[in-house]
Amino acid sequence: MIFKVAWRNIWRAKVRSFIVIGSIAVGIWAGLLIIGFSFGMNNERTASAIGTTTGHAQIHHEDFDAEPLSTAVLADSSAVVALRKTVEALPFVSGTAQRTVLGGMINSAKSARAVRIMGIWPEEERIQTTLADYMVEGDFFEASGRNRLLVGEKLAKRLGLKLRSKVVLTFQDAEGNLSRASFRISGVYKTLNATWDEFHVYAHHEDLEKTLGVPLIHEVLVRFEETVDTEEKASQLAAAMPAGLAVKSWKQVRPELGFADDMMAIMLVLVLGIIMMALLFGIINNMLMAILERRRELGMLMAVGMNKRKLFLMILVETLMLGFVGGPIGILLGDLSTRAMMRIGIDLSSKQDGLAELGVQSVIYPEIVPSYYLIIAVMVLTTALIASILPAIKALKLNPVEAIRGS
Amino acid sequence: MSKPVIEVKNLEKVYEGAVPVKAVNGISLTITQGEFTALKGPSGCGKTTLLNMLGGLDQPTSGSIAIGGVDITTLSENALIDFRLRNIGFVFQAYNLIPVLSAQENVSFIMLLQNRPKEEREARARQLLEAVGLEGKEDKRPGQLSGGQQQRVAVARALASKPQFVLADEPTANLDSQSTANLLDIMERLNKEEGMTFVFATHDDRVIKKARRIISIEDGKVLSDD
Repeated sequence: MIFKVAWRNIWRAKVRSFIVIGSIAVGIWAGLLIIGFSFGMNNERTASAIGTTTGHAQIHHEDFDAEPLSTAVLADSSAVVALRKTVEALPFVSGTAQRTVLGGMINSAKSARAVRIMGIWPEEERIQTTLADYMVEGDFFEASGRNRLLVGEKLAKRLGLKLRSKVVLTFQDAEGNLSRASFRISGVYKTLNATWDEFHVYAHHEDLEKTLGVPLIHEVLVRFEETVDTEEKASQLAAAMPAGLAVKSWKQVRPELGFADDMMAIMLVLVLGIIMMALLFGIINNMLMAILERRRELGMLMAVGMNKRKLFLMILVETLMLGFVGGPIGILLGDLSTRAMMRIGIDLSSKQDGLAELGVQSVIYPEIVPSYYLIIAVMVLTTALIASILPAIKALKLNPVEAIRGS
Repeated sequence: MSKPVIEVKNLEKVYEGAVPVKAVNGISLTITQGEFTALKGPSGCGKTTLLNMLGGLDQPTSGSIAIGGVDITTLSENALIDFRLRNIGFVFQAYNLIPVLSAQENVSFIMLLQNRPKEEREARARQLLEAVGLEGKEDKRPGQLSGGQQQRVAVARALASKPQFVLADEPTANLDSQSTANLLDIMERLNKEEGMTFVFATHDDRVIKKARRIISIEDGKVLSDD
């Protein structure tokens, strides 16, 4: 009957209860939207980075990060072919691509910048990455020619480059000597990540080999069938590697993406925490009002022999019920509106440039993250639980004689 | 001779303040089983304070109150709450029913606090409501009942816990004469037929006329007891 009393008590002050239940529902709704939006944005950035440039994992020489790039090659060409066969035989791997990776400078008539020069096998790259889909000018090594170079749109702007502009690349060869070669811009690309575009240029491996003398393979990009459990799969991949080679998952290759994930988790907890704090005060206020209005009745209950435990329980149940009503409404609203926005997308074209710096497109498609439903449900109930303590203490402190008299 | 239900000895209650007030000043009295007693006196004479102390709602400054042989002034707060639940029935001036519960549920609620089984609660609540003349009104909420009817629900509630006695503080103060007469008839019948002890604090002549023992109180002392 305590539940019945608590339930009916909620509806005594209908407007007030509706306001509190409404604020719980709106708080949860907003929380779920933020979660959906954040996950949508982050996952899209990750998917875009993996798909366009990074792959799910990369294989390098173990000294790749420490040594000058040109010398930390994986192996000779035939050994790399064998290595890729081994990797492609793993059940979760969908494909591989090899690359030459050089650190160097690009000089235009206007300016110079440090860049990373990616020597690619265009046919492989086209299969394993979506870079070819992001060409804004020129082509992806389709037209024949010599010393063709693809640059990012942002770099092209900085260096004042156009199609067919001439640039000079300076880089180290296998012996560590500085080499120079002139290239012509044959294409301009624009991925979702402006930072990447600014620091990476793509050359045909054959053109680099003319200067380097030999094919240097520094990197094997690995694509998995699915973007799930990537860390675990990268470990399995590492276990299959011969000595001297190292495997990095996309999170290790692009730590900023991993940080973004972690940051987002912290941010979401903070945002939810702030929402819950606001709800906490709302619920406390509501319950204190309810206690104040029912002093006489509570005094009577204490007088006739309701013990403190039961009185506490009654107020606790009443407070929790506010959460039990508002919580599901908020979750339902949040779920429905996230689903609606998953279809239409959230158009942020006006902030396109800023978003490109973050590696995100201008239309964000939120995602449903079921685990957060549970987290929110637990947070709401915990909030209601905490919110009930102060009003309950207030009620327990009532003096029955004074409360009944209404003084 | 009937056995004593309440035995009060040298009861004193002093309200501390800039000028300490002795609300009850050395009262000793015994109330036995089956009494229909009124504590009368002008406002501020100390009768409500005395009643509250008899009900274990207020602690005396000195003296003892034994109910059924148990000195309630020595009980801990929790023990006293439980003692009230099992031994004392209360009827308040303003009825103080739970507005969200029906008449039947209001009566049952006390038995729920005593952890009585559901069947017993429902049967006894129906029987008590019938005894106070509210047959057919079991499902009405307090707001749907008249003042007199609400006070009768309060009497049924007071009896629900099978107390040793019922304390009623100005139970008729908010009632018209017809409702007062009805209520008093019901309480008198319960007193005579079931031997329930009633103690009223009142200055309502209609109650005083019905009482078989009238204790007059003034300035915290018993002025007369007949």
